[in-house]
Amino acid sequence: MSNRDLNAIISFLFDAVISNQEIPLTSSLPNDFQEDMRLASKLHNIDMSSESRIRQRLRNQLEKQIAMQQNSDQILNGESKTGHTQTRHTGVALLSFGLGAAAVVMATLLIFLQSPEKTAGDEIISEEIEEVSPIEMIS
Amino acid sequence: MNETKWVVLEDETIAACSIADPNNFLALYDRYFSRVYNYMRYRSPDTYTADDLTSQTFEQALAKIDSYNPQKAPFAAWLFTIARNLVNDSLRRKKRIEWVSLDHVKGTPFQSTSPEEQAELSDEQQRLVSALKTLPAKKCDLLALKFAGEMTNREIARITGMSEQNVGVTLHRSIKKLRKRLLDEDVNHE
Repeated sequence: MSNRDLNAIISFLFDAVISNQEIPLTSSLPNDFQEDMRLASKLHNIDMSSESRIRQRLRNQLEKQIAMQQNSDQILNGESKTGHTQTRHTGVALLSFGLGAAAVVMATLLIFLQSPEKTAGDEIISEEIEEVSPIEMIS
Repeated sequence: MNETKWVVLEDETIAACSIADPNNFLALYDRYFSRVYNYMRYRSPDTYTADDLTSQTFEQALAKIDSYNPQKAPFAAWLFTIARNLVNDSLRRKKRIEWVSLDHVKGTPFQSTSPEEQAELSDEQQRLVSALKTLPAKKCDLLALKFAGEMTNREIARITGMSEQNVGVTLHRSIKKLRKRLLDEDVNHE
């Protein structure tokens, strides 16, 4: 058997150890291999977590962290909703302002266009009035 | 008669659901606590550090669950990447500040186990854990990922950046080295 084959076999056997499968430790395997497999199995069987003091404490802590996260998400969502309403209000205000401004311009134009045209006589009278100086009027 | 069919959801599916509702993360916590905790105990110098690093791993995983992409990596690989980075950082920091007398190291072949470990584990298991901690960091890391983290060689390769074949070879060598250390210790005791 080549080294590559041996490595493939040992990798397969290690995977069997970690998935808690029955390992076919037959005499066909070299003795050295069998010893390696026994040690691997012992390593895998050490469970130090069952007596752990932090298992439940950490779970509670994570639950609190999740609750806090959800609360902050809700607050953020609320703020973004308020933000949307504010944007909508600003849009409406701008539109109203635009319409108002347009109405004012239109009204001015209409007034300007509808105002009566000056007659030739009016122009002569105004010119005459302008020409008379106050001193002249007194004299 | 109606039979209830149980569907075991994959970790990746639960992780994806955790993004929408973080409460689902607790199911992953229940599945992975032992594996992560044992990994930390194999690699940490004491129980307190292992407790602390396990807590940090799950807290970080929960905080970063939004960034997990099931199409990029299996959940186990993602979680153990966080765990491994934390323990490596912690060991690096400890190395920087800790001064160990060489005479002391010479006198004791294996680092002694903590009182908590002595209470929990049998003598043989204590010897095994102590011997494991004397291996070079890389070998200890691979053995911990394999036998405490219960990861496949492919997953380990993804986490460590090694090739799958290299992982297999190094694991086998590490087991051999561990066995030799235990045998040497037996000889020394006799």
